[in-house]
Amino acid sequence: MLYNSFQFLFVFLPLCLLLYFAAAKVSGWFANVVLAAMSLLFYAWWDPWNLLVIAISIMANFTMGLALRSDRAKFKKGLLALGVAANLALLAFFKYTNFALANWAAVTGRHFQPLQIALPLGISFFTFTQIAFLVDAYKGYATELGFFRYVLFVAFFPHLIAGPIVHHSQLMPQFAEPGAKKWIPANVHIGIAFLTIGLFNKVIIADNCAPWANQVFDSPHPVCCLDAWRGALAYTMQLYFDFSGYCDMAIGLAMLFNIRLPDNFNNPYQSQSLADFWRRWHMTLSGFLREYLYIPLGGNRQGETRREFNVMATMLLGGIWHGAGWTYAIWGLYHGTLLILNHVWSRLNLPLPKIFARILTFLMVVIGWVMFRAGSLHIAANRLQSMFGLQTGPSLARPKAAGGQFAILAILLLLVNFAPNAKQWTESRTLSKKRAFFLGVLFFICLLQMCGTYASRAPQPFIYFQF
Amino acid sequence: MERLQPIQAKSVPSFGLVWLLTVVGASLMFPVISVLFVNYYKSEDPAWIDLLYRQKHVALQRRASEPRRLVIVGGSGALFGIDAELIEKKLHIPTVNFATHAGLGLRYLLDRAERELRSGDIVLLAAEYETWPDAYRDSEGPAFDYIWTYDKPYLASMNRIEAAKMISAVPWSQWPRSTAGWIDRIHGDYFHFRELSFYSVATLDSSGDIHVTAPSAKSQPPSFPFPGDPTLPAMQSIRQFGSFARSKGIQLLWTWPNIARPATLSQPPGFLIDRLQSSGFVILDQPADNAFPPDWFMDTPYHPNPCCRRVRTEELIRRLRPVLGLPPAPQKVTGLFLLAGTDHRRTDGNTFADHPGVVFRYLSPEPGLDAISPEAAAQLVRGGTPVYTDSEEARKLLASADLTLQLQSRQSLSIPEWFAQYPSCVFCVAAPPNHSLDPIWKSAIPNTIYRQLATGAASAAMFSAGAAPILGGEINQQRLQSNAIPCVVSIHTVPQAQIVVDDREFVSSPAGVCVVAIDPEMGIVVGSAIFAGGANLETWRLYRVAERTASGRAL
Repeated sequence: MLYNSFQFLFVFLPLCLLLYFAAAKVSGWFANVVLAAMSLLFYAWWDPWNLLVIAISIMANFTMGLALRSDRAKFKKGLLALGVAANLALLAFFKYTNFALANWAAVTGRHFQPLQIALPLGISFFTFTQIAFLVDAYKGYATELGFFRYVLFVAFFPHLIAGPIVHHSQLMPQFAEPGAKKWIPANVHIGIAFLTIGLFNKVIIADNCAPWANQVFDSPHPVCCLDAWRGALAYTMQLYFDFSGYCDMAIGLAMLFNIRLPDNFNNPYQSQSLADFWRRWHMTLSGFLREYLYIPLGGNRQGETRREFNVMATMLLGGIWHGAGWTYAIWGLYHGTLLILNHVWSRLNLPLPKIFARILTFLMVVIGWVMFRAGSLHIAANRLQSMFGLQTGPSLARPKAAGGQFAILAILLLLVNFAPNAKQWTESRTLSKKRAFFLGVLFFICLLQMCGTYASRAPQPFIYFQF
Repeated sequence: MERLQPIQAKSVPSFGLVWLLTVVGASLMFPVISVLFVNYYKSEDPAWIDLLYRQKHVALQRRASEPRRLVIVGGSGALFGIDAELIEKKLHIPTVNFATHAGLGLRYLLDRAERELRSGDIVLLAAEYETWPDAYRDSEGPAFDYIWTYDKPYLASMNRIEAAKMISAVPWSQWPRSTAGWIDRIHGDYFHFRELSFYSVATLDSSGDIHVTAPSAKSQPPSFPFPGDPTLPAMQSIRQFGSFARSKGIQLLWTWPNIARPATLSQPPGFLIDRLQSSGFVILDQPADNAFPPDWFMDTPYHPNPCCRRVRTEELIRRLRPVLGLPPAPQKVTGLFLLAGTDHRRTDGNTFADHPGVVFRYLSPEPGLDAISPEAAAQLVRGGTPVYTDSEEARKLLASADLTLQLQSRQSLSIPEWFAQYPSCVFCVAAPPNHSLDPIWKSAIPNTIYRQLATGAASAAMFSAGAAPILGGEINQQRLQSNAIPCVVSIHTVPQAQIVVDDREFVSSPAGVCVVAIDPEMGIVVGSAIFAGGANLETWRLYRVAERTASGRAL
C-alpha cells in the first residue's frame, strides 16, 4: 500500500484515523495499541512474511534495550556490540548477501546463481532506527520502554518504510502524551497541507520526470550530450521531489495523529557547499551517520588526516547503505572526496562568490546522481562521458520533446532554488480558506493524475522504498 | 537528542472543511465536465471509425424498408474480408457490411449493432479473435478514444461501475489535447486521413464494402488466438446479444474471421462453441476454413486483399445458401473462375449469380487449399469444365500451361449512360494534354465544360448533377470558392490527368479523361472511370480460358 494509492488515501488512512481516535476515547494505551496494529497491518500489506522479520527484530531489540538498562558496564558494552552486530547482520543478510556472493564469484571466476532473498521493505530504516535505540539505551537516553509504545516507535506507518529515521527520545514521549490523543484541528490542517504538497511533488512532478530519466539511463547505448544532461537533470528533480514528497507526506500523516516527525529536507539544492548539502539532504540519515558512525570513529578530534579518513569511511558506508551495488559505493566515495576537498578549501579561507558556490555545488550533486541512478558502472561512466562531450550517440528524443522537457526542468530548477519548501510555506502564512481551496485543487489534480496513470499501470513506488 | 520543534502554523477553523469540500466538489464535478469536454478529435482511429459508422448507418437506412437484411458485424477483418454487395447479388438478400474496427472490442461492436437491427434481420458475426477482451477499458485503445469522442451517450448505457472506471481513466494529459480538438472542431478542421495510407473512406460503396489494395506484410500468427477465458465479459455479451436477437426475431450466424493461415491449426475451445450455440448462433464453418496464405493479406493478418476476399466471400456464400433457405450449391463444380494478382472487383460479368456451382480459385504456380496451378486449370479445361477469368495477369500464368484467353463477354456504356448512373452527384474531371473527346460528351456534361475539354488542352473541371450541394475542392492546388461549380480551368503544366480524393490518388491517366463521381451526402467516391476516347466506356470483360493451338489461336 503506497501513500500515493487510492486504497491508502481513501480506505486505510480514514479507517486508521477513525479507529485511533475512537480507541483514544477508551484510553491512550489502547489508542497506541490500535495504531501499532494498524501500522503492522500496513507493513504486512506488501508481504505478510515481512511481518515475521520486523516482529523478530522489534522483540529482540526491545529485549536488549531492557537489558541495557543494567548497571554492569562490561555486560552493557558487550550487549550493545552484540545488538549492533545482530542488526547489521540481519541487514547484511537480506541486503548484501547476493552482492557479496556475486563479487566473490567474479573474483574466483565461478558461476553465480543469485539466492532467492526478498529484501523486506524498509529494513534499512527500521534497522538503523533500532541501532540508534540500542546506543541511546546504552547511554541511558532511552528511558521510556513500554512495549506497545516501542512497537509503535519502530513501526509507526508514516516513517516505517523510508524514514525519516527517528530517535527513541523524539517519538516515545509523544506517544506517551495524553493530550496527543485528541483530534486537534490545527495539527490536522498542518497535516493536510503537508500531505497535499507531498502528494503533488510525488505524483505530479517526480512521476512525470521519471520517464525522461528512465529513457536516458535505461538505454544501453551511448547518448548525446544534451540527452545525458536531460536525463541527469530529470533524475535530479525526480529524486528530490520523490523523496522530499514522501517525507512531506510522512510528516503530514504523522501530524494527523498529533505526532511530529523530524524534518528530512531543507532546500538541499540551494546549498552553498557539499557540507551544506549534507546538512540539508536526507537530514536524519546524515544525522544518524554523524552521530553513530563519524563521531564514534573519532570525528574531527584526532587530527586532519584521521578526520578525512572518517569522512571517507562514513560516506562510503552511507553510499553502500543505499544499495548493494558498486555504483552506490562509488557515489559515496565521490561525496567523501568532495567533502574532503570542501574541508581543504575551507581551510584556505578563500570564499567563493555565493552564486558560483551554489551552482558549483549543484553541478557536483547532479554528477553524483548520475552514479547513483546508473544501473552499472559502465552506464554511469558512459553518461558522464556524454555529459562532458567525451563521446556522443544518437538523440533519444525528438528536438521538440526534448526542448519541452528542458523547459519544464528549468521551471523545476527555479522552484527548487526559490520556492519555499512545505514547512516554510506552511509556517510563513495563515492556512486560510483561500489556501484550503488552493490545496484542495492541488490534491484533486493529484487524484486525476493518479486515475489516469493507474488505469494503465500500478502506482509508482517511492524511490527510497528500494533502499 | 534535541527535542523536535513544533511546526508553527496558523490556520482558520474552517480550513479542513474547505479543503474537503473542494476535493469532494471537484471529484463530483469532474466526471460531468470530463464527459462534456474530453475528446480525441485529433486522433485518426476514432475519426476513421466515425466515418465508417456514419456511412454504414446510411447503407442500412437505404435498406430500411426491406423485410429482412443480412447485416455483417465485426471488425476490420470483416470490413476487408466479406463482400456484402456480392452476397446481395448472389443470394438476393439486401446485405450491408456493418463491420468497422476490431479495436472496439466485441462488446461494443454488438452493442452498436443492436441500435441498428430490426426484427427480421439476419446478423452474420465475424469477430476477430482479439475482439474478446474488453477493449474500451484500455485508455490507449481506439474503443476508449472513439466512445469519448463520438459516442458519449454509450457511457450512460454502461454498467455504472464500468462507466465510472472509464471516466476516471481519462489521462490527465488528454485535457490540453481535448482543448486543441475542440478548437479544431470549432474551426471546422476535421481530422484528415493524411497518415492513414490506403485506408480511405472514399472507397466505401453503398453496401458498406471497402475497396482497397495494398502490398502484403506477410504477417502470420503462430496459431489461432482463441479467447482463453470463459469468464471474459464479452462472453456475457454474446449471451445478452443472443437474448436480444431472440426477443426481436433476429437470426444469428457465426463465421470465423478470415486470417492469415497460422503455423499451427487448432480447434476452438469447447466453452466458446457452447456459448455461441447456446446463444442462438448457427456456426457456418471451421476456423481453418477461413485461414488463407499470408501472401493474400495486406497490412495485417486480418486484412485480405480483394482476390482473397472474393474467394472467402464465395465460400461463405456457399455455406449461407442452405441457412437462408436456398438450395445448396451443387457439389459438382460447374465452372471455375480464376483470380490472379492482388486486385479484383466484382462486376456483372464475374458474379455468376445464377450459377452456384462456379467456384473461385486463386491462380498460382504453387497450388494450395485455395489456389490452383495453371496445369490443374489446364486439366479442367481439357475435361470440359468452363474456366473463366477477367484478370490480365492470369494470361501470363496460363500461357505456361498452353492456355489462352478467349473473350466471352463484355459490357460498355455510352458516355451519357455512364454519367446518368449518378443522378445526384458531384463530378471531378481531369483531362491530360492532347486528349481526344468524342462529340457525345456534349450531351453528358455542361456546355461550358465541354467547350473547354473539347480543345484537347489539359483541363480540370467540377460540376454537379441534380440538386447536389457544393463541395469544397482544389484544382491544381488552388482552392475553389464556395458556389464555384460548375467550373473549369485550363492547366498548362501537367503531364497527366490525376484526381485526388481524401488525400488519396483516385484515378490518373497520361492520355484518358479521368472522372470521379462523388456522393455529396456521404462525401465519398461512388464511381470513377478513365475515358480513353470513343463514344463508349468499357466497364468489364470476361474471358473464357481455352487451350492454345499450335498456331497460337484458341481452340
